[in-house]
Amino acid sequence: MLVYDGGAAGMVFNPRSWATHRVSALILCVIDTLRTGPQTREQILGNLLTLSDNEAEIADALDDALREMGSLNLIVQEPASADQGI
Amino acid sequence: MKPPPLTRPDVALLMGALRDPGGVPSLSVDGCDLLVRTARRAKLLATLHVRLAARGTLTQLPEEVARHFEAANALATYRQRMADQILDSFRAPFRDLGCPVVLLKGTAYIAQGLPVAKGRIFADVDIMVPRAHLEATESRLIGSGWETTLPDPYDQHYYRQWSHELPPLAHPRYPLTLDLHHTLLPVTNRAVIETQRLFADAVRVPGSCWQVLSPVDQVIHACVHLYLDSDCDDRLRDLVDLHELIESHSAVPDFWSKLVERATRNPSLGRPLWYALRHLHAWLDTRVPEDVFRSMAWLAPLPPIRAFMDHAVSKILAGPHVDAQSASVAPAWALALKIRAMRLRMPLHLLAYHAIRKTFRSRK
Amino acid sequence: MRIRSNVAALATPLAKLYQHFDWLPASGFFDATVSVRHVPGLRRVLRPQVRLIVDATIPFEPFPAINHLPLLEWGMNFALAERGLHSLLLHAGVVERHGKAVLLPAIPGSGKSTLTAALMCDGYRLLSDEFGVVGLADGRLHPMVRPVALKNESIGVISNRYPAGVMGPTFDKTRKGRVAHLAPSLDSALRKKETARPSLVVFPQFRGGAALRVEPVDPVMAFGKLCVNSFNYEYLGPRSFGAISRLVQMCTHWRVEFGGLDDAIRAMDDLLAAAP
Repeated sequence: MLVYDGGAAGMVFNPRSWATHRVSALILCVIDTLRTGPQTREQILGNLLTLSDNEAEIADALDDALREMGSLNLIVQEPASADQGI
Repeated sequence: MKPPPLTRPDVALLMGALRDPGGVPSLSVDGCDLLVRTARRAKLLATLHVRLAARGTLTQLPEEVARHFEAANALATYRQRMADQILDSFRAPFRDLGCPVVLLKGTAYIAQGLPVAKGRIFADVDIMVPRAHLEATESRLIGSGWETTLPDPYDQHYYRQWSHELPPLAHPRYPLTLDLHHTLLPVTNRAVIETQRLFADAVRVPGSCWQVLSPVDQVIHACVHLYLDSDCDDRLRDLVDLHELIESHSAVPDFWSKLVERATRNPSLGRPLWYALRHLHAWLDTRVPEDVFRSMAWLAPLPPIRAFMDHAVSKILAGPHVDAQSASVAPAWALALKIRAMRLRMPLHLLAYHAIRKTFRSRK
Repeated sequence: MRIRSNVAALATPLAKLYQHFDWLPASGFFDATVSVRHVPGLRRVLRPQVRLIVDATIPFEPFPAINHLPLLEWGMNFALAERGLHSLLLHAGVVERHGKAVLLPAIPGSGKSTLTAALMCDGYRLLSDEFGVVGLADGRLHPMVRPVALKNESIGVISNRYPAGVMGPTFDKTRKGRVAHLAPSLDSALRKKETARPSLVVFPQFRGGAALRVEPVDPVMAFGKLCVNSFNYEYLGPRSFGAISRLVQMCTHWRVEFGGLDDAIRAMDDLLAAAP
């Protein structure tokens, strides 16, 4: 996956579909986190809690982001609840 | 009597380069220019790129020439990727389809990783399912976003009644169309296709859910596609592909004997094979064992027909010269082959019916 | 580019528009060979037409014979775009000054061609009016120097402002309205092989009577717009993405809304001076 990080947003190239997408800063964070390897939703959430105190807000935003990434085929969810980046 | 050689200078130049990529850097500037344009027009520029790259010759070419080969390679690569993606996208909708899905032509070559797949510029994806599962497959495809490209009910009816495939399907996300076949030739074609045997003999591509035709069937299909289902006009590309296909498959044990056996058992398929081997050997130096020619000699057409086919195909196979002013080269030969192709596809009375219906529809 | 034609009327405007270029012998290696010919037959008398032929294919419907030059110029663009998959081709005007190149993405109605023409007449070097050719290996902009196609009011605006500019004939009834072509400047023609470092991406927006407004554009937004304003972005996959990433990082990005050329050119000069 190729990433252009523009700070508040970014662009991502999906090597599977050869499609290019504009993505939010949160998605950029998720991508960063997943570079180290597959993670569960909870693990990713844990990493993101450093960004804000409002856990519920972050959790919601994360779920939205994961949903969007799934629809763009940027991530694959394995049955054991571990998300895997491309 | 051998077929006449392909002597038109641009064609000879292209064939020479395909045969001996090492000779390309020694071409004159004019020669290079004509070669690139001719190869591109014949959809063989990417194939030539593959051969030049394999030979290590690309780096010897000046940048202004090399980049044209690279451009062709980029296009071929892109379209191959799209074909791959389309196949990938079928895995979910075709799960539990309950029937074999056989990939045809280029789609098969790419799944099998055959050398002939490289350099190919995909225009469509071809798959085949048994007739009984045609509608079910079609509805799963439509459910995945594929749409017909021929909405006219008469066209639909025509295809479903007479043709070996449905009207092409298109998808908003992909640049290639999809041809869904249930056999290899139109029902009305004079040749007899033993469709059940095709499925029975099909082989699974290792590590995938796809099937492909057996090596013999792949070669026969390619011959049939060129000599029975087309008018050979501007089809040099198909003959070059056949050459590579045979080069790959002839390494398979018993390939030649099985091929001859099939031709013998089904002479309607043996005739196009006979033409193919004859032209491949004469024009592309394809290595065909002597005894194969001998065993198939009885399939030869009568001398006047043989001479006609040799001459007609030699004139129009390579298509027009890049500097041609008019679209059609050797129009008389081209027309004769067109008529031949139409008659092979459809008996005369059906042809007339179809032509009349089409005229009425276009008048409305 | 190799050009072939049996349309005698093409000779004069071609000689005028390409006066700073060398005419090469027809033999040699060319990126494209393009032919404009009379459509043969009885029609030649009743309703004369010309058609474009590129390597034995006829990609477009014929034009009325009087519109020979627009067909040829359009045809050359088509042929070059078709054959250009060795580089990333952006749909943009490109000019250069002081070693810095400016990309002007071609959004319809934005005034891109008028601005490109004006900048050239004002002393900028023209790389192209149509094609931002981004080298995949070097990340630089490669020239494709051809006449600038001007439409409708722009023709008058540019000829009045720059009477010394070499303008070809005006074609009144093309599909895009009135069209005329401005010849590349001598400097642009002489330096047609000289690549340039991209420094500035400017999205022009012409609005009659508007005051000048210059605003920065978010790089991610610029990235997206460049992808969309491209002839072959989707075909090159990761290489396209890499090329645009690199380009976006090398440049600053602006929107320039202008009502007149004085404002626009001054704004460009200022932006260029500050550009990397």
